Amino acid sequence: MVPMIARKLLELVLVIFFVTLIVFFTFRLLPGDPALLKLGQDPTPEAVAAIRAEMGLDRPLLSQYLHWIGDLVRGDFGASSLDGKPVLSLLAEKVPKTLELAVLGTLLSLFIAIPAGVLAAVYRYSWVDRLMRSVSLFGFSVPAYWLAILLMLIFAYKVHLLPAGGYASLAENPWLHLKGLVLPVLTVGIINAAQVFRFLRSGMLDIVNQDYIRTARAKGVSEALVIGKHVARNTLPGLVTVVTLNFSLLLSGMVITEQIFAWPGLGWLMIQSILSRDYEVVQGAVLLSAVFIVVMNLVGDLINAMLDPRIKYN
Amino acid sequence: MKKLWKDPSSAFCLSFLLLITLLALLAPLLTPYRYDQIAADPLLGASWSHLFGTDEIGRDIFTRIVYAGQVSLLVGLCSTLIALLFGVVLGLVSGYYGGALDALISRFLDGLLAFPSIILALAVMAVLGPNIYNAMLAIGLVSVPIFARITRGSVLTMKSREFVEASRSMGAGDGRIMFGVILPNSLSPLLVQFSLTFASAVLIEAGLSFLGLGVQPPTPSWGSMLNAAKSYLTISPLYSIVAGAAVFLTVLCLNLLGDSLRDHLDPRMNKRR
Repeated sequence: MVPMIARKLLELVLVIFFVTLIVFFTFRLLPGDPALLKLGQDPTPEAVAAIRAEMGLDRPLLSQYLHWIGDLVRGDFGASSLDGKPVLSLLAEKVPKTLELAVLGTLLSLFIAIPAGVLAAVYRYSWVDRLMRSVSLFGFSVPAYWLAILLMLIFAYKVHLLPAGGYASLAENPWLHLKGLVLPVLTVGIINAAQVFRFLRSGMLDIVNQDYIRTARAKGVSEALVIGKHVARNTLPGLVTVVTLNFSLLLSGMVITEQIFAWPGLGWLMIQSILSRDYEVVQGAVLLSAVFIVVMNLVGDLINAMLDPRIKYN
Repeated sequence: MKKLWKDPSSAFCLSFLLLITLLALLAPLLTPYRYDQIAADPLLGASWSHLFGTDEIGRDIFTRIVYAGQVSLLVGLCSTLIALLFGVVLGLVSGYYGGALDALISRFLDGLLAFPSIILALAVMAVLGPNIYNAMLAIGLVSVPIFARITRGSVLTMKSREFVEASRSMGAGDGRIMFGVILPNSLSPLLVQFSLTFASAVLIEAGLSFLGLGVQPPTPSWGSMLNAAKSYLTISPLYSIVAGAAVFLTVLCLNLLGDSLRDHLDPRMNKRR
């Protein structure tokens, strides 16, 4: 287990290194000189040179990159160009709101996808399976923004049951907070459920056709026990992988969902910052979400190694 | 291809995709209005002269939907081609040469894959500026790793097979083996992925435009139409519904098509049926 963790950690560091490179060079491509952006119209050449030196733009790229990494490691993600607030504290304020949607959305999707996946695998190639697969294709192809708008149309404007968006703090107004959660969580959960279902079904079908399942059946083990014990146990690592991998898709969908429901999370912050050209914040948000995904994948690998002893030795 | 037409669901998908392509291509012949022409009062309901009604400033929604189809399909196609090109080259090189180069390329792709697709595309658009070409580039970039992984996988299984050895012993160079021998034999998984990536490219393009960071007005896009429609949800629900349905049906058909391609091309799947 220990060598495996060590190897995974090394890989993690390498991947994060590439992530920082990609972010660094993407934001270096910004058209126009960041120094000129800061100074506004018609600055004197001396002022430009001064601010370039202050921002470190006159140094070679490698030195700029190392400097930037050094700042990041010390927790300095730069400051918002709008109000000078540190980017890290802006992000820290938004992350819990996004995580709340992500976790609840994932739970909802498991709640839908696990029973559906098991049913589809048990009654494989029957009408039940076909029905579930058709429904999942809907969830797989429906754009998050359209689903969100349709849900809003039905539950906020036709039935007036739920708010069409907005965020109320849990401490100040718990009831409104919960009501505001329903539609975004439904949007995220339904789309994610389709993904999980597809993986779960095909994963279980792969296992159902394995020799050891045939052996179990030949020994007279009941179908319920075959599925409930042998198949389910062996599908679990795959399920963990799907859930952790899906966090990437989840965050993608979240950007749009948060925007539609005016849910002030990380995705919402990112869009606002892009629109107001606050690139330091955008850069921080992009970097944070990628690092988060990399760490989630590592967590998934480690859980799998605990669930399945075979993985440890590979 | 013939087999696909026999299967009812893929026949439906092919027909729908053909229909929407034709609508997009023949747009100027199909509608009497221009996409930026104010043709009537704003937010009219459906009628014979305005099939899906009119939008917030009185432009014909049907006209805008078919013109937006041009944009969505073009961005989807070009970005998928960009991803295919770069992905295949990276995958071939990293699978064929292996070693440190493979490790370097693979970690780079892992790094690229770590970004949630819309977030990376948004960042690239924010930096390059929102227009149709940058959208193709941003969306293409996001899908490079998946093509690279698929190609690398088939190179690894094929590298030591007899027919590759045979062409090497006949004096074929590395480039010839990669592009002339291995690549033609890995086309089916790439074709399946092409369909699926096309679907996600359309989805991401509409997402970017929905957020106002994709194709810029007055050029119509399904995503930006949906964003405009959102504000008139109570007055004109049809507006939101048709704009979203265009994206949804296109993506659904591309996904279904990818699925049935996989069923027909993957010998493992045929055996099981």
